[in-house]
Amino acid sequence: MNRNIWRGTIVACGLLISLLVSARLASAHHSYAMFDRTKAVTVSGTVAKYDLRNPHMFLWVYVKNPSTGKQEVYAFEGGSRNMLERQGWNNHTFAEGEKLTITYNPLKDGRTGGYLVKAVKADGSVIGGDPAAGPGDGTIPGVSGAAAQAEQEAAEKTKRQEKK
Amino acid sequence: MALFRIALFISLAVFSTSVRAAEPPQGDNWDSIKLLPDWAGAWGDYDWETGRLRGGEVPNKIPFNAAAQAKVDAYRKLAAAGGDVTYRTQNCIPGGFAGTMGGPEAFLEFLFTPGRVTITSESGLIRRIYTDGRKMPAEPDESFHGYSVGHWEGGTLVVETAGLDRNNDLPANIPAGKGLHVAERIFLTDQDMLQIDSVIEAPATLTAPYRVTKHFLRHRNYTMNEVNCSQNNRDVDKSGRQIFDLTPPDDLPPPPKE
Repeated sequence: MNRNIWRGTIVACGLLISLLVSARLASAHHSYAMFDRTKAVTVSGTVAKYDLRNPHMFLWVYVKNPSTGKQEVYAFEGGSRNMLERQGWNNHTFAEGEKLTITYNPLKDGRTGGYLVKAVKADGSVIGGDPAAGPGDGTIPGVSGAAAQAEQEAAEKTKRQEKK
Repeated sequence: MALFRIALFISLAVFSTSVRAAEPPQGDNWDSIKLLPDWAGAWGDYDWETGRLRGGEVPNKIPFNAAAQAKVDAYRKLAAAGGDVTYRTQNCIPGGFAGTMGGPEAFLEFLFTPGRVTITSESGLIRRIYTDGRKMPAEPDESFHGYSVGHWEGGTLVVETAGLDRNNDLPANIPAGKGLHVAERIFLTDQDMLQIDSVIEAPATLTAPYRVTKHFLRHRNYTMNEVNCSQNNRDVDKSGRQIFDLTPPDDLPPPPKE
Protein backbone atom coordinates (compact mmCIF):
# COMPACT_ATOMS: atom_id res chain seq x y z
CA MET A 1 0.00 0.00 0.00
CA ASN A 2 1.54 3.31 -0.96
CA ARG A 3 2.04 6.21 1.46
CA ASN A 4 -0.84 8.27 0.10
CA ILE A 5 -3.35 5.46 0.74
CA TRP A 6 -1.95 5.00 4.27
CA ARG A 7 -2.18 8.73 4.89
CA GLY A 8 -5.76 8.81 3.60
CA THR A 9 -6.69 5.86 5.81
CA ILE A 10 -5.18 7.51 8.90
CA VAL A 11 -6.94 10.79 8.14
CA ALA A 12 -10.26 9.00 7.59
CA CYS A 13 -9.86 7.10 10.88
CA GLY A 14 -9.03 10.34 12.69
CA LEU A 15 -12.08 12.02 11.21
CA LEU A 16 -14.31 9.08 12.14
CA ILE A 17 -13.05 9.04 15.73
CA SER A 18 -13.42 12.80 15.92
CA LEU A 19 -17.02 12.59 14.72
CA LEU A 20 -17.89 9.71 17.06
CA VAL A 21 -16.46 11.52 20.05
CA SER A 22 -17.85 14.89 19.09
CA ALA A 23 -21.39 13.56 18.86
CA ARG A 24 -21.76 13.04 22.57
CA LEU A 25 -21.28 14.94 25.75
CA ALA A 26 -20.25 18.54 26.28
CA SER A 27 -18.34 20.23 29.00
CA ALA A 28 -20.23 22.33 31.49
CA HIS A 29 -18.48 25.69 31.62
CA HIS A 30 -21.04 27.51 29.50
CA SER A 31 -24.08 27.12 27.34
CA TYR A 32 -23.35 26.60 23.64
CA ALA A 33 -26.47 28.50 22.59
CA MET A 34 -24.36 31.13 20.79
CA PHE A 35 -23.14 28.53 18.29
CA ASP A 36 -25.24 26.81 15.65
CA ARG A 37 -24.07 23.30 16.39
CA THR A 38 -26.35 21.80 13.76
CA LYS A 39 -24.19 23.35 11.04
CA ALA A 40 -20.54 23.02 10.09
CA VAL A 41 -18.75 25.61 7.95
CA THR A 42 -15.26 25.28 6.47
CA VAL A 43 -12.67 28.02 5.88
CA SER A 44 -8.94 28.05 5.08
CA GLY A 45 -6.48 30.41 6.68
CA THR A 46 -3.23 31.10 8.50
CA VAL A 47 -2.72 30.60 12.24
CA ALA A 48 -2.23 33.94 14.02
CA LYS A 49 -2.21 32.62 17.57
CA TYR A 50 -2.85 29.32 19.32
CA ASP A 51 -3.86 29.65 22.97
CA LEU A 52 -4.21 26.33 24.81
CA ARG A 53 -5.59 27.62 28.10
CA ASN A 54 -8.62 27.17 30.33
CA PRO A 55 -11.52 27.26 30.44
CA HIS A 56 -11.38 27.03 26.63
CA MET A 57 -8.77 26.72 23.92
CA PHE A 58 -8.76 29.59 21.42
CA LEU A 59 -7.33 29.46 17.92
CA TRP A 60 -6.98 32.81 16.12
CA VAL A 61 -6.75 32.52 12.35
CA TYR A 62 -6.38 35.01 9.49
CA VAL A 63 -8.86 34.18 6.73
CA LYS A 64 -8.89 36.05 3.43
CA ASN A 65 -12.29 37.54 2.58
CA PRO A 66 -12.88 36.58 -1.06
CA SER A 67 -15.03 39.67 -1.66
CA THR A 68 -12.77 42.34 -0.21
CA GLY A 69 -9.42 40.57 -0.43
CA LYS A 70 -8.72 41.60 3.16
CA GLN A 71 -7.42 39.26 5.86
CA GLU A 72 -10.02 38.94 8.62
CA VAL A 73 -9.44 37.56 12.10
CA TYR A 74 -11.48 34.47 12.98
CA ALA A 75 -11.73 33.14 16.54
CA PHE A 76 -12.34 29.44 17.18
CA GLU A 77 -13.15 28.15 20.63
CA GLY A 78 -12.44 24.57 21.74
CA GLY A 79 -12.56 22.45 24.89
CA SER A 80 -10.62 22.88 28.10
CA ARG A 81 -6.86 22.36 28.06
CA ASN A 82 -6.85 19.11 30.01
CA MET A 83 -9.74 17.67 28.00
CA LEU A 84 -7.88 18.33 24.74
CA GLU A 85 -4.55 17.14 26.13
CA ARG A 86 -6.15 13.81 26.94
CA GLN A 87 -6.70 13.49 23.19
CA GLY A 88 -3.13 14.26 22.27
CA TRP A 89 -3.16 18.04 22.01
CA ASN A 90 -0.21 20.03 23.43
CA ASN A 91 1.33 23.51 23.21
CA HIS A 92 2.78 22.65 19.79
CA THR A 93 -0.35 21.27 18.11
CA PHE A 94 -0.54 24.40 15.94
CA ALA A 95 2.20 26.89 15.02
CA GLU A 96 1.95 30.56 14.14
CA GLY A 97 1.94 30.97 10.35
CA GLU A 98 0.69 27.42 9.73
CA LYS A 99 -1.93 26.91 6.99
CA LEU A 100 -5.11 25.17 8.13
CA THR A 101 -8.51 24.21 6.78
CA ILE A 102 -10.96 24.57 9.63
CA THR A 103 -14.46 23.21 10.10
CA TYR A 104 -16.52 24.89 12.81
CA ASN A 105 -20.00 25.47 14.20
CA PRO A 106 -20.64 29.11 13.27
CA LEU A 107 -21.71 31.84 15.67
CA LYS A 108 -25.41 32.59 15.33
CA ASP A 109 -24.76 36.37 15.43
CA GLY A 110 -22.70 36.24 12.22
CA ARG A 111 -19.35 37.26 13.68
CA THR A 112 -16.30 35.56 12.26
CA GLY A 113 -15.61 32.42 14.22
CA GLY A 114 -17.32 29.69 16.18
CA TYR A 115 -16.75 26.36 17.87
CA LEU A 116 -13.95 24.26 16.39
CA VAL A 117 -15.02 20.90 14.98
CA LYS A 118 -11.72 19.96 13.33
CA ALA A 119 -8.64 21.43 11.70
CA VAL A 120 -6.89 19.82 8.72
CA LYS A 121 -3.19 20.52 8.38
CA ALA A 122 -1.30 20.96 5.10
CA ASP A 123 -0.08 17.33 5.33
CA GLY A 124 -3.68 16.08 5.60
CA SER A 125 -3.59 15.19 9.29
CA VAL A 126 -6.78 15.97 11.21
CA ILE A 127 -6.94 17.57 14.65
CA GLY A 128 -10.32 17.32 16.35
CA GLY A 129 -12.11 15.43 19.04
CA ASP A 130 -13.82 18.04 21.18
CA PRO A 131 -17.00 16.39 22.50
CA ALA A 132 -18.88 19.71 22.58
CA ALA A 133 -18.60 20.27 18.82
CA GLY A 134 -21.56 19.44 16.63
CA PRO A 135 -20.62 17.27 13.65
CA GLY A 136 -22.61 19.49 11.29
CA ASP A 137 -25.11 16.86 10.18
CA GLY A 138 -28.10 18.53 11.82
CA THR A 139 -27.55 16.87 15.20
CA ILE A 140 -25.90 18.29 18.28
CA PRO A 141 -24.14 16.48 21.09
CA GLY A 142 -26.23 15.11 23.94
CA VAL A 143 -25.56 17.05 27.13
CA SER A 144 -26.97 17.37 30.60
CA GLY A 145 -28.28 20.72 31.75
CA ALA A 146 -31.44 22.67 31.11
CA ALA A 147 -29.98 25.12 28.57
CA ALA A 148 -28.41 22.31 26.56
CA GLN A 149 -31.68 20.40 26.48
CA ALA A 150 -33.45 23.54 25.30
CA GLU A 151 -30.83 23.98 22.58
CA GLN A 152 -31.40 20.40 21.46
CA GLU A 153 -35.16 20.88 21.38
CA ALA A 154 -34.89 24.18 19.48
CA ALA A 155 -32.65 22.48 16.89
CA GLU A 156 -35.12 19.62 16.46
CA LYS A 157 -38.00 22.09 16.10
CA THR A 158 -36.11 23.98 13.39
CA LYS A 159 -35.41 20.71 11.60
CA ARG A 160 -39.09 19.75 11.68
CA GLN A 161 -40.09 23.16 10.31
CA GLU A 162 -37.52 22.86 7.51
CA LYS A 163 -38.98 19.47 6.53
CA LYS A 164 -42.46 20.99 6.23
CA MET B 1 -17.66 -13.11 94.30
CA ALA B 2 -14.51 -11.08 93.82
CA LEU B 3 -13.06 -13.84 91.67
CA PHE B 4 -16.23 -13.91 89.60
CA ARG B 5 -16.02 -10.13 89.03
CA ILE B 6 -12.37 -10.36 87.99
CA ALA B 7 -13.20 -13.19 85.59
CA LEU B 8 -16.10 -11.19 84.15
CA PHE B 9 -13.91 -8.09 83.72
CA ILE B 10 -11.21 -10.11 81.95
CA SER B 11 -13.81 -11.77 79.70
CA LEU B 12 -15.33 -8.42 78.74
CA ALA B 13 -11.89 -6.94 78.11
CA VAL B 14 -10.92 -9.87 75.86
CA PHE B 15 -14.29 -9.69 74.05
CA SER B 16 -13.94 -5.93 73.57
CA THR B 17 -10.41 -6.34 72.22
CA SER B 18 -11.50 -9.08 69.84
CA VAL B 19 -14.39 -6.93 68.55
CA ARG B 20 -12.01 -4.03 67.99
CA ALA B 21 -9.57 -6.34 66.24
CA ALA B 22 -12.37 -7.45 63.92
CA GLU B 23 -13.23 -3.86 62.93
CA PRO B 24 -12.05 -2.96 59.45
CA PRO B 25 -9.02 -0.67 59.31
CA GLN B 26 -9.99 3.01 59.44
CA GLY B 27 -6.77 4.55 58.17
CA ASP B 28 -6.17 6.36 61.44
CA ASN B 29 -2.38 5.82 61.25
CA TRP B 30 0.14 4.96 58.55
CA ASP B 31 0.11 1.23 59.42
CA SER B 32 -3.68 1.17 59.13
CA ILE B 33 -3.52 3.02 55.80
CA LYS B 34 -1.42 0.16 54.41
CA LEU B 35 -4.46 -2.10 54.92
CA LEU B 36 -6.84 0.15 52.92
CA PRO B 37 -7.60 -0.58 49.24
CA ASP B 38 -5.23 0.81 46.60
CA TRP B 39 -6.91 3.87 45.05
CA ALA B 40 -3.70 5.44 43.70
CA GLY B 41 -3.70 7.19 40.34
CA ALA B 42 -6.22 9.45 38.61
CA TRP B 43 -9.83 8.45 38.02
CA GLY B 44 -12.06 9.52 35.11
CA ASP B 45 -15.71 8.67 34.44
CA TYR B 46 -15.69 9.71 30.78
CA ASP B 47 -15.09 7.04 28.17
CA TRP B 48 -13.25 8.63 25.26
CA GLU B 49 -13.78 5.60 23.04
CA THR B 50 -17.56 5.65 23.24
CA GLY B 51 -17.97 9.34 24.05
CA ARG B 52 -20.20 8.52 27.00
CA LEU B 53 -20.04 8.44 30.76
CA ARG B 54 -19.05 5.00 32.01
CA GLY B 55 -21.99 2.92 33.16
CA GLY B 56 -24.54 5.12 31.43
CA GLU B 57 -25.49 8.77 31.44
CA VAL B 58 -26.41 10.70 34.56
CA PRO B 59 -30.21 10.31 34.61
CA ASN B 60 -31.94 13.46 33.43
CA LYS B 61 -35.12 12.78 35.39
CA ILE B 62 -34.58 14.62 38.62
CA PRO B 63 -37.44 14.73 41.17
CA PHE B 64 -37.70 18.52 41.29
CA ASN B 65 -40.45 20.12 43.30
CA ALA B 66 -42.88 22.45 41.50
CA ALA B 67 -40.90 25.62 42.22
CA ALA B 68 -37.60 24.15 41.02
CA GLN B 69 -39.25 22.59 37.96
CA ALA B 70 -40.70 26.01 37.10
CA LYS B 71 -37.16 27.43 37.21
CA VAL B 72 -35.92 24.64 34.93
CA ASP B 73 -38.79 25.23 32.49
CA ALA B 74 -38.25 29.01 32.45
CA TYR B 75 -34.55 28.49 31.88
CA ARG B 76 -35.22 26.12 28.98
CA LYS B 77 -37.73 28.50 27.45
CA LEU B 78 -35.25 31.37 27.66
CA ALA B 79 -32.50 29.25 26.13
CA ALA B 80 -34.75 28.11 23.28
CA ALA B 81 -35.52 31.76 22.52
CA GLY B 82 -31.82 32.60 22.41
CA GLY B 83 -31.87 34.55 25.70
CA ASP B 84 -29.13 34.98 28.27
CA VAL B 85 -28.63 31.55 29.76
CA THR B 86 -25.45 32.28 31.64
CA TYR B 87 -24.21 29.31 33.61
CA ARG B 88 -22.98 30.32 37.03
CA THR B 89 -19.84 28.33 36.30
CA GLN B 90 -19.09 30.87 33.55
CA ASN B 91 -18.42 33.31 36.36
CA CYS B 92 -16.07 30.76 37.89
CA ILE B 93 -18.48 29.86 40.69
CA PRO B 94 -17.68 26.29 41.77
CA GLY B 95 -20.08 23.86 40.21
CA GLY B 96 -20.43 21.72 43.31
CA PHE B 97 -20.13 17.97 43.37
CA ALA B 98 -23.55 16.56 44.24
CA GLY B 99 -23.77 13.79 41.68
CA THR B 100 -21.58 15.69 39.25
CA MET B 101 -18.00 14.80 40.24
CA GLY B 102 -15.95 13.88 37.22
CA GLY B 103 -17.08 14.51 33.64
CA PRO B 104 -14.84 14.87 30.58
CA GLU B 105 -12.92 17.79 32.09
CA ALA B 106 -12.14 16.68 35.60
CA PHE B 107 -10.20 13.62 36.73
CA LEU B 108 -10.19 12.82 40.46
CA GLU B 109 -7.52 11.55 42.83
CA PHE B 110 -7.82 10.12 46.36
CA LEU B 111 -5.17 10.87 48.97
CA PHE B 112 -4.99 8.86 52.22
CA THR B 113 -3.45 10.43 55.32
CA PRO B 114 -4.07 9.38 58.94
CA GLY B 115 -7.69 10.07 59.83
CA ARG B 116 -8.55 11.65 56.51
CA VAL B 117 -9.28 10.93 52.86
CA THR B 118 -8.84 13.90 50.54
CA ILE B 119 -10.45 13.98 47.09
CA THR B 120 -9.00 16.46 44.63
CA SER B 121 -10.45 17.20 41.22
CA GLU B 122 -8.90 18.89 38.20
CA SER B 123 -11.86 21.26 38.45
CA GLY B 124 -10.27 22.72 41.59
CA LEU B 125 -12.61 21.03 44.04
CA ILE B 126 -10.92 19.72 47.20
CA ARG B 127 -12.95 17.53 49.54
CA ARG B 128 -11.68 16.58 53.00
CA ILE B 129 -13.39 13.51 54.43
CA TYR B 130 -12.62 13.00 58.10
CA THR B 131 -12.33 9.32 59.01
CA ASP B 132 -11.00 9.91 62.53
CA GLY B 133 -14.28 9.05 64.20
CA ARG B 134 -15.57 12.57 64.69
CA LYS B 135 -19.28 13.23 64.40
CA MET B 136 -20.95 15.58 61.96
CA PRO B 137 -21.28 19.03 63.60
CA ALA B 138 -24.87 20.04 64.34
CA GLU B 139 -24.75 23.07 62.03
CA PRO B 140 -21.62 23.09 59.90
CA ASP B 141 -20.85 26.36 58.10
CA GLU B 142 -21.92 26.37 54.46
CA SER B 143 -19.15 25.85 51.89
CA PHE B 144 -18.95 24.44 48.37
CA HIS B 145 -17.15 21.30 49.53
CA GLY B 146 -19.27 21.00 52.68
CA TYR B 147 -18.30 19.09 55.80
CA SER B 148 -17.67 15.39 55.26
CA VAL B 149 -17.26 12.58 57.76
CA GLY B 150 -16.66 9.00 56.73
CA HIS B 151 -15.67 5.52 57.79
CA TRP B 152 -14.49 2.36 56.11
CA GLU B 153 -16.68 -0.72 55.82
CA GLY B 154 -14.08 -3.12 54.49
CA GLY B 155 -13.09 -1.75 51.08
CA THR B 156 -15.98 0.73 50.94
CA LEU B 157 -15.60 4.34 52.03
CA VAL B 158 -18.94 5.53 53.43
CA VAL B 159 -19.28 9.32 53.38
CA GLU B 160 -21.83 11.76 54.68
CA THR B 161 -21.64 15.41 53.64
CA ALA B 162 -23.64 18.35 54.98
CA GLY B 163 -23.00 22.07 55.34
CA LEU B 164 -23.09 22.44 51.58
CA ASP B 165 -23.46 25.91 50.11
CA ARG B 166 -27.01 26.42 48.91
CA ASN B 167 -25.63 27.46 45.50
CA ASN B 168 -24.20 24.01 44.84
CA ASP B 169 -25.53 22.94 41.48
CA LEU B 170 -27.62 19.88 40.96
CA PRO B 171 -27.02 18.18 37.59
CA ALA B 172 -29.46 20.47 35.71
CA ASN B 173 -27.62 23.68 36.64
CA ILE B 174 -30.18 24.40 39.35
CA PRO B 175 -28.98 25.51 42.81
CA ALA B 176 -29.83 22.85 45.39
CA GLY B 177 -30.92 25.30 48.09
CA LYS B 178 -30.58 25.02 51.85
CA GLY B 179 -30.27 21.65 53.54
CA LEU B 180 -28.41 19.77 50.77
CA HIS B 181 -27.14 16.45 52.08
CA VAL B 182 -25.16 13.84 50.18
CA ALA B 183 -24.50 10.23 51.22
CA GLU B 184 -21.93 8.29 49.22
CA ARG B 185 -20.53 4.79 49.07
CA ILE B 186 -17.23 4.57 47.19
CA PHE B 187 -15.68 1.22 46.33
CA LEU B 188 -13.72 -0.72 43.72
CA THR B 189 -15.73 -2.97 41.44
CA ASP B 190 -12.63 -4.21 39.68
CA GLN B 191 -8.90 -3.61 40.02
CA ASP B 192 -9.10 -0.39 37.99
CA MET B 193 -12.80 0.54 38.22
CA LEU B 194 -14.27 2.62 41.02
CA GLN B 195 -17.98 3.12 41.70
CA ILE B 196 -19.57 6.02 43.55
CA ASP B 197 -23.20 5.61 44.62
CA SER B 198 -24.68 8.94 45.73
CA VAL B 199 -27.99 9.68 47.40
CA ILE B 200 -28.75 13.40 47.22
CA GLU B 201 -31.32 14.98 49.47
CA ALA B 202 -32.26 18.61 48.85
CA PRO B 203 -35.50 19.43 50.69
CA ALA B 204 -35.67 22.93 49.17
CA THR B 205 -35.54 21.58 45.61
CA LEU B 206 -36.36 17.87 45.42
CA THR B 207 -39.45 15.90 46.37
CA ALA B 208 -37.50 12.66 46.86
CA PRO B 209 -33.88 11.55 47.20
CA TYR B 210 -32.04 11.64 43.89
CA ARG B 211 -29.80 8.62 43.32
CA VAL B 212 -26.80 8.69 41.00
CA THR B 213 -24.20 6.01 40.28
CA LYS B 214 -20.93 6.86 38.54
CA HIS B 215 -18.07 4.65 37.36
CA PHE B 216 -14.48 5.80 37.17
CA LEU B 217 -11.59 4.16 35.29
CA ARG B 218 -8.12 4.32 36.83
CA HIS B 219 -5.35 6.11 34.92
CA ARG B 220 -2.45 5.08 37.10
CA ASN B 221 0.31 7.14 35.52
CA TYR B 222 -1.71 10.24 34.61
CA THR B 223 -0.37 13.61 35.80
CA MET B 224 -3.20 15.71 37.22
CA ASN B 225 -3.93 18.89 35.26
CA GLU B 226 -6.25 21.80 36.06
CA VAL B 227 -9.30 23.57 34.67
CA ASN B 228 -9.01 27.09 36.03
CA CYS B 229 -12.02 29.01 34.78
CA SER B 230 -10.46 32.44 35.24
CA GLN B 231 -7.34 31.84 33.13
CA ASN B 232 -8.77 33.01 29.80
CA ASN B 233 -12.50 33.37 30.33
CA ARG B 234 -14.07 35.02 27.28
CA ASP B 235 -17.58 33.84 28.01
CA VAL B 236 -18.93 36.58 30.30
CA ASP B 237 -18.87 40.38 30.30
CA LYS B 238 -17.87 42.53 33.28
CA SER B 239 -21.35 42.22 34.77
CA GLY B 240 -21.17 38.44 34.51
CA ARG B 241 -23.64 37.99 31.65
CA GLN B 242 -22.97 35.56 28.82
CA ILE B 243 -21.06 36.93 25.85
CA PHE B 244 -18.47 35.57 23.48
CA ASP B 245 -15.65 38.11 23.55
CA LEU B 246 -13.88 38.10 20.20
CA THR B 247 -11.53 40.99 20.91
CA PRO B 248 -8.29 39.75 19.35
CA PRO B 249 -5.28 39.41 21.68
CA ASP B 250 -2.90 42.40 21.65
CA ASP B 251 0.02 40.28 20.50
CA LEU B 252 -1.43 38.96 17.22
CA PRO B 253 1.18 39.08 14.46
CA PRO B 254 0.39 41.14 11.32
CA PRO B 255 -1.75 39.33 8.74
CA PRO B 256 -0.04 37.46 5.90
CA LYS B 257 0.67 39.65 2.86
CA GLU B 258 -0.46 37.22 0.17
